[in-house]
Amino acid sequence: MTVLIALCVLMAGFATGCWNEKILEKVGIALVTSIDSLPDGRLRFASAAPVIDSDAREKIEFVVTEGHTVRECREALRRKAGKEIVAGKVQSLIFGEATAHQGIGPFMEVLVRDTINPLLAWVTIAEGEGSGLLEKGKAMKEKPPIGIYANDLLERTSQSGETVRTTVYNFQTAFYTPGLDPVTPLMRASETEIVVVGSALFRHDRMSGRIDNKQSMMLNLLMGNRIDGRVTLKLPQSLETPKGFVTFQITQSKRKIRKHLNQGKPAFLIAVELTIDIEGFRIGRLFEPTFLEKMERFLSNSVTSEMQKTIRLIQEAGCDAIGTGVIAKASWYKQWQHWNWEELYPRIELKASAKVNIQNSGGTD
Amino acid sequence: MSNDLDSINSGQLLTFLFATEVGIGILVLPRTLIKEVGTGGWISIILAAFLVGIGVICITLLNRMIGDSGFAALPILLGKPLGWVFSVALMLYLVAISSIVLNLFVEVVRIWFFPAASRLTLMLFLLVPSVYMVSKGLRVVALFDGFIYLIMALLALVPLHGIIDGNILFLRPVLQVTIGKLTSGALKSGVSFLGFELLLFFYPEVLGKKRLFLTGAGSIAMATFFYVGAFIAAIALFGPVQPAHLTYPLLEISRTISLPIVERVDLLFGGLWVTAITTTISGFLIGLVKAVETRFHVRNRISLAVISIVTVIASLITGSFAEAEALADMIGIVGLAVGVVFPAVLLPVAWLRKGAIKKWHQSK
Repeated sequence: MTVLIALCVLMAGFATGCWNEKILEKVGIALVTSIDSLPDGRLRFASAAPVIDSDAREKIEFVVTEGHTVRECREALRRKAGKEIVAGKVQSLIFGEATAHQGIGPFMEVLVRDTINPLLAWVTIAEGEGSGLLEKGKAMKEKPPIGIYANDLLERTSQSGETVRTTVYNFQTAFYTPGLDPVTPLMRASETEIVVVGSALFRHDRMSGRIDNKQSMMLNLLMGNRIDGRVTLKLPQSLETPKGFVTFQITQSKRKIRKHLNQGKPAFLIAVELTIDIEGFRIGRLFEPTFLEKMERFLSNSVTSEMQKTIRLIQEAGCDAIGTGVIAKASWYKQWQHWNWEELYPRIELKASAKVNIQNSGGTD
Repeated sequence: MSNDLDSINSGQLLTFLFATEVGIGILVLPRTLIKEVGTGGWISIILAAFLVGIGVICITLLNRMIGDSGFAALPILLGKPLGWVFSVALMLYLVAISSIVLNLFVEVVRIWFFPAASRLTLMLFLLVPSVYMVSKGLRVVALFDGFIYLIMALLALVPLHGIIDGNILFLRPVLQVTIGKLTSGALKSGVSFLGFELLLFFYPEVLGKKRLFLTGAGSIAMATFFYVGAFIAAIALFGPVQPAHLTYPLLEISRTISLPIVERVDLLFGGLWVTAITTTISGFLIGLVKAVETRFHVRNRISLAVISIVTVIASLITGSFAEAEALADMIGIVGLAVGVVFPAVLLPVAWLRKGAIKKWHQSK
């Protein structure tokens, strides 16, 4: 009896997976996917998967399909691709800029619903068309395969803060949460390389603005994200060096948000304290306390000014990337119910203040 | 099968009740509550725990007053015809809840892991080990249930990740719901605590009867802790709105975890969860076996086989995921009636029928 039961369990256990088997040699593993809306209302869906075959001439299988829905495109993909394309390892979802302006919410919804699609894939916007970026990336013979190349670029630039890390679930959370909007990386492809040029700002699911790499860094700091990027600033005459510029690396950052109601409207002050290492500066002068103080004051003012510029841009774009709306809702719920946050957000008092502490100088004397 | 195989101490009873209570609820509850109550859903969970706690108090007092399980004394308390009607109704309830757990398990596995797998195979996969354990008696079931602590400790890492990685500010403001919504949320949460009502079927088997209430309350407290944790994690990570659109928020949280070796943490989570479900279904099945034994004086392999087949047939009745969830909601309310209202009503009856109970004991 015991043997019989054990056999039953084993059979049930093994048989359960038989209907769902995916043999590696028989499938193509998509690493990057793009979606673009076409002028006639149809979609263009592209996918790039590495070819696991030593005899194959092409190392990447790049398939483009068109259809009315993502599902229809996927079905068309199934009919065209050399192997069944599976999406479980997709690392980046790329949307064309025009598509992003129209709104990517419906596509995201479809992608999230399927449990096979990874929630940790990057959501990225490409200047021009997403499929165009993939096609150019595929043709770059001196670069790694497009999926890996794009993913590595996004990883590195988000770690340094030059763009904002946004995965599928980050995007969906920001999209659904009142008082919070998404920000995604923004990429540009030329014939020879792909560059992360900054971040795309969203209002709900529609792209409403863009910021460059330095502004993305400031936004990361304002959002309280940990970054280790480098910033280069032009020095004033009082701190002049032979080069006239200073580069520093952020090693630590702390963010505090102070809030109050100003004439019934919310006001925020985001105080960021940075610990930095200065690179490429004469070490001797940084040992002078008065000079060090001057330098710290200059850097604090410069970073504050950059942050303020970034705040102006995100407010103009109506993108509440910092989540001030979430704080307002949590703090003043009675008033929140009467506020139209979308209308109010661009006009709220949102200020930044940075305090820079120089920890080390890595420059030569 | 000897009744000695059913005797368990209070520690084992605590494990048994906790393992039976925690199952489907941990996956479904955050979505249900966010839809119903919003961010204050965790208050509903605590309210539900108190409500269920009242049930535990009533059952404990009832069992103590009777000196046997409430179920065993039904014909004495209500008279033979009515006692039998309620006995059969309770047995049908246990069949219904077992089949619903089985059904929801199949739905979770088909939605999440093996979309093409056959329902019957999946049912066998869960039912065969559960029935095998049940055939060995309550003590074996309770001992196997001991795994639940290890499983829950591992599963708890997922909501913990949600809380650490998420934003607790999403939970505020705390009190933005009406008492009505909180109550309706508490009723919907009640289904996640089902399993505590099995105290109605076991009494002579429990060693250390003085601690019956503490063990029942302890199991509820542990389940509450996990449910509140899962709820907070879902909101902290996905915000105050999105979890209402996610089928299984906790599985979704496991999809957001990236580990160096284990790429699909959700599959690992699901694998552990299957064991938690095995303990739930075996809990209800042993309750059913005990009920049949108490009322019909039959407990053998044939009765167990009949019970299993009836459960499988009952679980095949519902065809879709939505139907299974609607039935689960309904059975949740029935379960609360069985575990809270029914013993509360029986308490004064037992007090009035003291004499009959005494005679019944003498005749045994």
